Amino acid sequence: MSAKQTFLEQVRDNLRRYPDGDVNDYIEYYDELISERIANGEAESDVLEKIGKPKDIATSFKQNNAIERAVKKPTVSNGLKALIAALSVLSLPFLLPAIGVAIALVSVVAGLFLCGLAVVALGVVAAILSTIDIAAIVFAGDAPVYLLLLTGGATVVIVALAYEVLRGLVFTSRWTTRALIHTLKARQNKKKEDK
Amino acid sequence: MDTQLKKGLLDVSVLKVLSLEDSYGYKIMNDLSTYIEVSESGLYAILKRLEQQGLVTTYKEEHDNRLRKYYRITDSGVVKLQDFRPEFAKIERIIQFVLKEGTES
Repeated sequence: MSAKQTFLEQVRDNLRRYPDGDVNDYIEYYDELISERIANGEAESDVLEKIGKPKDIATSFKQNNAIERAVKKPTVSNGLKALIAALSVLSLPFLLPAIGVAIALVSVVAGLFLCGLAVVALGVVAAILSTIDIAAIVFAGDAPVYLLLLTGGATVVIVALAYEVLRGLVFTSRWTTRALIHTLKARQNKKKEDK
Repeated sequence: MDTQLKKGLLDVSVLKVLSLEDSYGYKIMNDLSTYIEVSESGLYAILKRLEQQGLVTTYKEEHDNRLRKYYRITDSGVVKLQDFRPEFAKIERIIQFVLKEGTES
């Protein structure tokens, strides 16, 4: 194997968990770049030295991949994956605040979710219980039918509200993830510039 | 340079290079290097994004027993490039204003 092939295999070794097609594309791209530079008179060893370490080249792929996926599908999990990919190369001064931000984000989102769920669950249970309660009274002949209709209607409204609240929570989590990705991208570009 | 601004400029610069002729990774990188700095992995990400957006297409061609991946600008790529012109005219006016000689107190 030539030095170039060894080099590219090292990049590939670092990307074993990613789809073959995407990795092949990336390796081919670097293969071509290296070959062209050699064809244009640079020594192979110089090119391999200058183009970066295989591990760093693999890391760039992981970062782009994670950010791309999180942009397409901004779930909290994809956001965290992008954050982890970014953390693996970023320097310590950014690392600590980033971990803080991540923990804060997760806590806020999880907290919102739990509060929302609790309110929603309590509301739904209360509405259903009161409907059953009043139904019992109505059927016992002690109360007018419109009371039953009223609480039945209230139950429907509360369940609909609960649905909207849950949707809002999902939206909030996506939104925070988007904000996170935005920050990560800006950081990544800045890092490249500093080099 | 401001990162958001640079990202936008890079996309347009790559489209501009490809509007002159079909080109391949190494040459695009060289053509750009006179004007704007970009890393190897950065250029890969840009090309991939442009391809996914349908602004460029690719084909392979043999050259000196090697396969080169060529990028070609699509019709929508050309439109995209033209759409930037009025934007840049605006930016240019702002830059001229900022750079204008005068008293800065």
